[in-house]
Amino acid sequence: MAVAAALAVALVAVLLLVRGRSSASERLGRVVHRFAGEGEAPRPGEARLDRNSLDDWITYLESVATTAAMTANLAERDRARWQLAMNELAVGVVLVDEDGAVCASNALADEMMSARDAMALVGAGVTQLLESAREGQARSRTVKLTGPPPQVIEISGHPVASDSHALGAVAVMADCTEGVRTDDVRRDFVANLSHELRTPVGAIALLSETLAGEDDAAVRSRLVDRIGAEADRVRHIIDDLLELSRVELEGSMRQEPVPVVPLLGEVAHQYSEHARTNDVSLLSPDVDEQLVLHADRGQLLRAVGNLVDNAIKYSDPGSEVRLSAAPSSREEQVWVDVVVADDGIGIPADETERVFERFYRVDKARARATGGTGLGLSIVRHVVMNHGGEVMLHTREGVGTTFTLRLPACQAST
Amino acid sequence: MTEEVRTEFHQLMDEVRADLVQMGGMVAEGISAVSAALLAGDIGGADQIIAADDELDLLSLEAEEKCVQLLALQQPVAVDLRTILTDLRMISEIERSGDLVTNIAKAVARLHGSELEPRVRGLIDRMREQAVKLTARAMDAYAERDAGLASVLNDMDDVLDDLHNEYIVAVFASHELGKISIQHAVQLAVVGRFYERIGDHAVNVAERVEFLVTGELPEHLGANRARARREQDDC
Repeated sequence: MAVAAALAVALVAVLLLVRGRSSASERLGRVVHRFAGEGEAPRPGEARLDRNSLDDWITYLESVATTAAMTANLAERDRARWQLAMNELAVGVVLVDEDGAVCASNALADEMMSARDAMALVGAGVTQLLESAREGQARSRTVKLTGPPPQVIEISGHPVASDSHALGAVAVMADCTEGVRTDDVRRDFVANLSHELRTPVGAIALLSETLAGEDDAAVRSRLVDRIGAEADRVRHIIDDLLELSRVELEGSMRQEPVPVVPLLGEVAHQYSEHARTNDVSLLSPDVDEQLVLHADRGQLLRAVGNLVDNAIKYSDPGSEVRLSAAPSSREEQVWVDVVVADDGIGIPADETERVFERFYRVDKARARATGGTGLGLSIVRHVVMNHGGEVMLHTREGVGTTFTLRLPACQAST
Repeated sequence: MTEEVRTEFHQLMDEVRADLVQMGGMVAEGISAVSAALLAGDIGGADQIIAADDELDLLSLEAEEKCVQLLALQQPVAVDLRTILTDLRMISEIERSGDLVTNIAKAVARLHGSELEPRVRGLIDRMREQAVKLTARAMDAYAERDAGLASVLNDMDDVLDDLHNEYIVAVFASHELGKISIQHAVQLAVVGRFYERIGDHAVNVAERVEFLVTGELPEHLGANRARARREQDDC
């Protein structure tokens, strides 16, 4: 646009100088026509504009300049539209010209390419792929970053050419982390489920076989105890599985106002015995009496209970588990954060995503010894999802774990 | 310099800069990967990390050659000269951090069979986090020519030093309780030292960036004092 304006000014100046010289004005006319394009504005010599009148030439230039400004404006808007559209893409895109200079890129690509942590490896890979793409070779590569959180980025470079004439290259970066994770979850779920169900059933079969050939009364009673314990384990798993599918099916149908203090009190009461046997003190100090949730009471009891159960199990004797609640607001909505915190062993950083998966266990030996089914946190997550809330997890090994359930507050109470 | 030579010159300088950022990325990823291998006792993973260091060595050699080429053929002055001198120093700092990652990887096999306590594991994770952060911020300072970050890096390194001290105490407390053997405790202490050294290299990088931008090094203060003392003695 600025160029067009400058051109117009320059042309007017030249026109002033060469006034009267018809061949020069002819040439200038042709130059200006080239900027004006075909049939845009009436030209001097046609439609009542005099070829020899400076005023008419200026009028003509003005209309050419206006059109040029409008065209430039449209082109600018076009570019902005493309840029904004590219920024909405879920992949990073970088376009370079034939010399390798970047001519366009979207926001995600800029973010990835300017990273200086491990993500810098993506930027370096993209630079290499663009180079070979400019030489006509389309290639792709997978960059795996350890994290936490772990990330898998698929990058590819493609030549950009029109009629075998090289114009540059384009690179695409796609974050495949979620897809890879989902595949892992699915694979592990089937393996873990069959393991969890088969182990106790296999044990029962074996124990009863031994029982059949055993005469010693003491051994027999021990075997019977073991069979009972294994049967209990299967029952717990089936109970939890049924509970989970019930939570899934039910959704959040029966929501009612649930005062927080009695809810936490009931959970604390329910697990007081468990806490005592583990020598853990269960505290819930200073919770605001006014807090009321809009939720399914039964589901919440179960979710908070599971968290308290875990907190007690993974705490050292003599430590404390804290139950609390506080209001919080986000996106115009009022929420209540229900927090369960412990000073226990914590969860390894690279497992924090996975602990919510069905049957996933961080430490298989310990989890089984403490009688978990591997479904507790899956149920917690599902309950919170039913209420449109979220679960937040802060943990450090050897320091402790804090689970925060963000749940909708009852509007009437606020 | 003609226009063309100048473009070529700056292109090569940009290449060195990109190489260095890539090397920084490799070190950052290496710290994460080796920490994961250490916490999981994954000897196979540790072997892969040791092998991956060759890649870093190759890249650092290539970058160094580019710097030598720039110095020999272009005889740069002022900020260009400072840039290339900084690049040369940085190459060895980053390469050294890569070696420290390799050293941690070698310790994974030596620690085989030891059960780490949650507290020790948590501290390793925090040192990992801090070392990655320091490395990334040092590379930020370099790539953005941000001299102000150098002082931030110093404070961040203090955090890593504190974590390191806390970690050493935790490791030997764990030994006192009979959770790990003395061999493993010493090995773990050495590993902690490697993390701490990675932080020191990041601080060195930031100091070099300060020199690149301002022409001043923290050591200059001490050097000036020494010079003044020497002159006094001469009188």
